[in-house]
Amino acid sequence: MKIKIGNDIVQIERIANLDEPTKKKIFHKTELNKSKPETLAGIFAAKEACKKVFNDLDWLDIEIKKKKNGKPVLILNDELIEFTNSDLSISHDGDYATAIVIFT
Amino acid sequence: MKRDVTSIQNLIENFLNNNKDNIVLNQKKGYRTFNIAGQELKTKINKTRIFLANKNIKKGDKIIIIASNSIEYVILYLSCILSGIIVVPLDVFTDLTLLKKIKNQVKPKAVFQTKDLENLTKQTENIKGKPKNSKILPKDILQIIYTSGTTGDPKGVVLTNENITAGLNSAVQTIPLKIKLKTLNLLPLSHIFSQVYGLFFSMYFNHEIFFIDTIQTRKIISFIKNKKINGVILVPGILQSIKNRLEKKSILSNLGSQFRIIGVGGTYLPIELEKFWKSRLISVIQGYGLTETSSIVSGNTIIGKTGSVGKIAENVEVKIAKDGEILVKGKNVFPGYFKDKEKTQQVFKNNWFKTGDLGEIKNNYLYLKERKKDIIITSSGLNVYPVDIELVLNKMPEIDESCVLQKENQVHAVLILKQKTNPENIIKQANKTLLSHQKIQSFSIWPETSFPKTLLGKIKKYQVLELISSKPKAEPLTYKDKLSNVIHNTLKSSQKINLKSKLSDLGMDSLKRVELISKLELTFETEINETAINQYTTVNDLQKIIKEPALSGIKFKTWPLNPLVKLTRIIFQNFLFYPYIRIFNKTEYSGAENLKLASKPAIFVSNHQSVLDVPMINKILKKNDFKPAIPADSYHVFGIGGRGNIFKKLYMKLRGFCTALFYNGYPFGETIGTDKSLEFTGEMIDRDYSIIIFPEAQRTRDGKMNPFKPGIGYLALNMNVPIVPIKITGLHKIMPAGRYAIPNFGKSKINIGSPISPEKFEKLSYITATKLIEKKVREL
Repeated sequence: MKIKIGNDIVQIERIANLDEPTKKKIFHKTELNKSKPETLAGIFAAKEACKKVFNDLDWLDIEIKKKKNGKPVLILNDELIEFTNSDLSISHDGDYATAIVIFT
Repeated sequence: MKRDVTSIQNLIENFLNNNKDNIVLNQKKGYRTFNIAGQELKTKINKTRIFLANKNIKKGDKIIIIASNSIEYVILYLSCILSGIIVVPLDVFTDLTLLKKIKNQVKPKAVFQTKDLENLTKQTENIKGKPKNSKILPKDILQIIYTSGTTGDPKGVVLTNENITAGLNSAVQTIPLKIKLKTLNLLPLSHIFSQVYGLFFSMYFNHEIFFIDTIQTRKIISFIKNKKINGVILVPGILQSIKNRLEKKSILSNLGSQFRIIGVGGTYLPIELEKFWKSRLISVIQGYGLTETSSIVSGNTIIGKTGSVGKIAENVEVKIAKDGEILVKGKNVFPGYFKDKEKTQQVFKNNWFKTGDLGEIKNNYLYLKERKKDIIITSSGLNVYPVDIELVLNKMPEIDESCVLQKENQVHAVLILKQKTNPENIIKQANKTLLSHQKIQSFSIWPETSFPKTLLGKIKKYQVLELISSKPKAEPLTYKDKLSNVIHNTLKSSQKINLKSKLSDLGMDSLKRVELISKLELTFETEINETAINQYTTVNDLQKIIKEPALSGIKFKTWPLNPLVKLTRIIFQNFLFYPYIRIFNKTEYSGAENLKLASKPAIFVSNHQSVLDVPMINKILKKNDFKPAIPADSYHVFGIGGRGNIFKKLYMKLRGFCTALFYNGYPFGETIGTDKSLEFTGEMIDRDYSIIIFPEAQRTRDGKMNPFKPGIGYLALNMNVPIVPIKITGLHKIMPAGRYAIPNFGKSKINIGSPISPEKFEKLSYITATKLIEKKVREL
């Protein structure tokens, strides 16, 4: 079984201070709706983690949705991914948010 | 001469009644332009009036509107005027402290922001009946407009119905523009200039009004061309940006030959700028007025005097005081500032209103000498009080005295330094405490120990400006400077920026890369592909990327929509192509009743099997009165962004031409960029054309569907029209991919699914939208 893993950590403040046009390049409006800075930073970390695995993914090719129990779910542009399974975990504490993503 | 306007209410009613079936308002939102005809506008206004009455907002009550221009804004604004509700319109950039002050002073019954306006349509949908009319008298207050105050109290200019009516009458008689015009109003409706010249004036002459939701020069220019705009209302700052963008290009081909009139005011108009347009036979109508005078004191006609702000307006009395100040009297002059008798008394002298501007009258034409107020009005229409900035500067130990004024439309500080220091640091320090629109943009050092002053000790700013302007002009910011600035401000590296510096060495990480691209795209008004910039990219590389062959030259082409071309197309299709295909292929259509359910225009999404897909879908659409337009890959079909020898280029040009001619194809894809692709699509849809798109972006080899590319999701979210899924079967056998001439014999099927309404996409990202549409097509 092939496994690929990606990980990222980001300062929450840096994401909170982004201007609107930049945010629109990184986040879908469905993601921006949950606008707590730590949540957004967590989403950013998750996307960055995915981009480390697949270099030519664009920010907006990735969408993070939350299930009802709060677990984040990854939705990707199918054609770019040869892996069929993925899992994602996001966390934040204090000034930082982090995410880890696994593809099999 | 048309009759005088007796009241604004009559103006509005006549306007609505005379234009029942005419489009009166247009608004560009994103990639689509929405419009409304007189009858519908009247209905919506009635509903809004009842809505307001139900909320117990009645004549004499005040509401604040703090929103950008839109059809909904006009609906609310006109509703209030008809009901005698006092409007307090505020600029969207009004800061919160000022907003609080105004709320306390005005005590509004409601505050409407952009979101509230959008909701208003939904909230008033089901209201029925007719609104009650109360008698509105000339002295009744129509609106209170706040002119941005300094750190002191804001001043609310009270304007009565009589003021606005008189002001409008003067305006329409001084500047009679009886011809039918399409006017683009680029100024916010919270400013009197925009209201009088961009709304009431147009209503009086039955002009068609347009609003746009961006200040991006490139988009304004293509809007003017595509919508065939005849005239534009703006401030000198925007006019300058448009000139800069078109300087070395053909005005005619970029704006269109129908563009004839520029209405400008609000701040000083440089003579060179006025002459630039006049020399190209475009009228520049400059006017002068203040909020306190209902926006009219003087105005030029189509053939005016360059350098002058126009003839004294009809029914307005103007005289020049001994010290050169312009004084105004007339029914258009306001009664006073809201709840501020003291400030009101300060601006009136023997019943004449003191404008605070100096000027002179020659042959009944008014010439402005100097803005006595010295207020700097930024290119986006915000007021900057030099006093505030001077206060900050003068407090600094290195500065002896400072003088802030407007130089070349910038906030400019002239400094007298106490000792030899680096002035750049001082300016940076000062800018830290100033609001964004107040920041000092350029500066110079005064060579002497004091500024020229009046007897009362006031700095003669116009002299200061003259003297610093006579020095050899500083070079305008070069392209390289601009680029360095953006890199420096985004990456915030302490290292010096030269061409060979790698962006990653200057501190660029993946987050900063996005920020950098975002800022570059805004500054240079272009689109940059993120994958083009990586850890090895140097500043030099970046320069090349931005300067890439201007795809900006590619404009929306209207010739394929020409009736003669359409006729050629019909002849080709019906008399040549379809009969030929009928020999080989029998297509069975099912689901055609769904076409009756779909509103026009719509976007048709299908799987891709052969080159016959478009013609066969085209056939059924035309039968049901849809007008198709086909997006075709900008590189593979139109050859845009391609490199090659002359023969290849010619071949591609021919191919593109044929696609446009025979199938109304237009360029769409990576090589012209997402933004342009969406712009062109929006433009087609605005003109009622339906789009046929194949999101697989390739034809199937084995009949199986390939995954959909995400572009369709973008379209679904941005175009606001229904998406109709279509499934084709059998055509891949009749005309397999790779074959273009002789088909096989066989049968095929085209199944049309039920339309998906745009509301279904509102809460989705473009990825999930693409997946949803793909599923619907697969299921057919």
